[in-house]
Amino acid sequence: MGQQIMIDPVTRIEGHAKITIQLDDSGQVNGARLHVVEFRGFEKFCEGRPLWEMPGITARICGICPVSHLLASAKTGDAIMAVGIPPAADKLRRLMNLAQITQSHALSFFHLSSPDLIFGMESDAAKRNVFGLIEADPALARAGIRLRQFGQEVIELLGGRKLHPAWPVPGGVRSPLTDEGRSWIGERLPEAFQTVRLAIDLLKRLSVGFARETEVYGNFPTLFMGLVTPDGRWEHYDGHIRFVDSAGAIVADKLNAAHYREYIGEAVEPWTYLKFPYYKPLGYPAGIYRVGPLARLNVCSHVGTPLADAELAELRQMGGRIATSSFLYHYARLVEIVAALEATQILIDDPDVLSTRCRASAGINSLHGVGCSEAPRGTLFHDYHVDEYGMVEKMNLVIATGQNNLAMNRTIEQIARSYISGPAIPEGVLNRIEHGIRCYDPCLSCSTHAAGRMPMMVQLVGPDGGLLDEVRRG
Amino acid sequence: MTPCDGASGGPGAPRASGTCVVIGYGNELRSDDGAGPWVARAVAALALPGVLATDAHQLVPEMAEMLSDARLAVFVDATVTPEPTDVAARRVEPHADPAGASHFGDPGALLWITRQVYGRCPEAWLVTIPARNLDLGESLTPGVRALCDTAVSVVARLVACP
Repeated sequence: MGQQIMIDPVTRIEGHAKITIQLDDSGQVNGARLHVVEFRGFEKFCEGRPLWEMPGITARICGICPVSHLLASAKTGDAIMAVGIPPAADKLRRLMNLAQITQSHALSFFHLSSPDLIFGMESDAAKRNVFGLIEADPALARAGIRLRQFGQEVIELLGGRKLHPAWPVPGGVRSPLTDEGRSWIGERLPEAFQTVRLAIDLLKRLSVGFARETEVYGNFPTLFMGLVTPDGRWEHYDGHIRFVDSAGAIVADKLNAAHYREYIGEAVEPWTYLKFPYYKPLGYPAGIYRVGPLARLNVCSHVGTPLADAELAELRQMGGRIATSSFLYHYARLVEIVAALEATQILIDDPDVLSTRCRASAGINSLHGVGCSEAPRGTLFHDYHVDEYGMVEKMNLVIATGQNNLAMNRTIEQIARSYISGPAIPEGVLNRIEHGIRCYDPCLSCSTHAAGRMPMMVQLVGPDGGLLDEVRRG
Repeated sequence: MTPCDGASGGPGAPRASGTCVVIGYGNELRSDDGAGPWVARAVAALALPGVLATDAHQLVPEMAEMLSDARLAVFVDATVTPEPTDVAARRVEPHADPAGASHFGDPGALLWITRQVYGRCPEAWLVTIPARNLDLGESLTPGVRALCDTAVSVVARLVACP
């Protein structure tokens, strides 16, 4: 039996996890696992509650991406009511999702990942954080803060709150955008475009120094899954499901999200609360697939707006038509912010977003419904069974982060094998392994419905199980 | 963050220039951890001139802009103490907090960010309310509810100081 290294908890991610790395007797990496160790069980305690409460309750799963749950839950309610929502409601929900994508991606890039990119993966851990970034480049930090603030304030404009806005409801939304709100968004958009331009230019300059990271941070063939429009463009709220493989072949297309159980299986392992979704026709674990910004940009033909398409072309030049390196999730996030801002501009120029006809009324017309939308981290499914009074009898949530679980485990193993040789492991190398997880910007609060803070502990355990070394930070 | 009185750093709202900013924060699904937001709403209901009160789930860097224009900041939070104690107020100084280097932080870290990014930060106080029950729940325990009234008075005195 070899040695085991433990990183517990993983830092600068949303939620609570630890990593173990198994070494063989010669000190070579034998395997690596991401363990998600907390559990809150929303699926269970939503049983017996009214359908109408589900958007509000499921949004409490997470303080980072509540909007994603609100939208998926409201769409599930639409399906159970068997209604088509008014065009204005569709556009307003889209506007909120775009704001959510913008603020979440800005958080991931500026607050969580850019310190590693700017200072280096193995730089001084005391400086390699958002405080170090603020000290080194206050203007960049301020721009990042304001970009995230922009997304949050659009959410607040629409929903009345930045967090948990009780605004998307089964049948539509509670209220339209105000004329004043539309003007405010229009006034702030130019600054948001400037900031993401700044971030893209920065990332491109820094990417030159990260060729090896691009090669070994989750660079392997898998399937990719995401929503696309009927004509195959980038989609974030509706449309149909498409799978592509790493060679660019469309493996499955025009799949109905409501029938996800026909093509997505969910495996479990005894060492983690995070489920392992897989593409059913290929089985487990061969059916590994990735979701999220990189997957969405891989599965689509193009975005459909000029600035985002120009950036997508550069991403594909860098990573290939199908970018297989998870390190490129960072770039994909910035491309998606551009796409989100362009789509926001189009929507606020549409008079429908001011329409007061934004909610359909109906009762329970179906005892089962599935709602699907693209959360910042990937495709999100809500699946409810209700009784004739609309009380939830059974619920299943398929979360983006869970769908990247197989890939995250493969990523940390690939990085560990690339950088670890022998039991002496510098802190910076452990940070590389953590960064492999950060590429996916996982939200473990969502995926297991757990929450926690992220100090870090690393334990080196000998073949006999004895503790050889322990490092704590945070 | 949600404005309690319709005024915040948010869209179309007045800036916090020269005002006192009161931020009550905590998780309102964790019983007494919701004391901070409760106090913020109570302060907002007093409609004190020049006072901008907001409730929030947690402190985030985006609050720095609002704080940068403020004359005084008062943070209100629940605290865990080994024995039941009273409401307390203490000055807060800016400090970097790499341990909390994510989307959350403590008041000192937020002040540090404000000063670094915007060039200044206000004088600040932290008012703490001892929590007794942090289990899942949306209501304050009676004792903590009474302490919240005390905390509102403490905040009112702090913001009344010139």
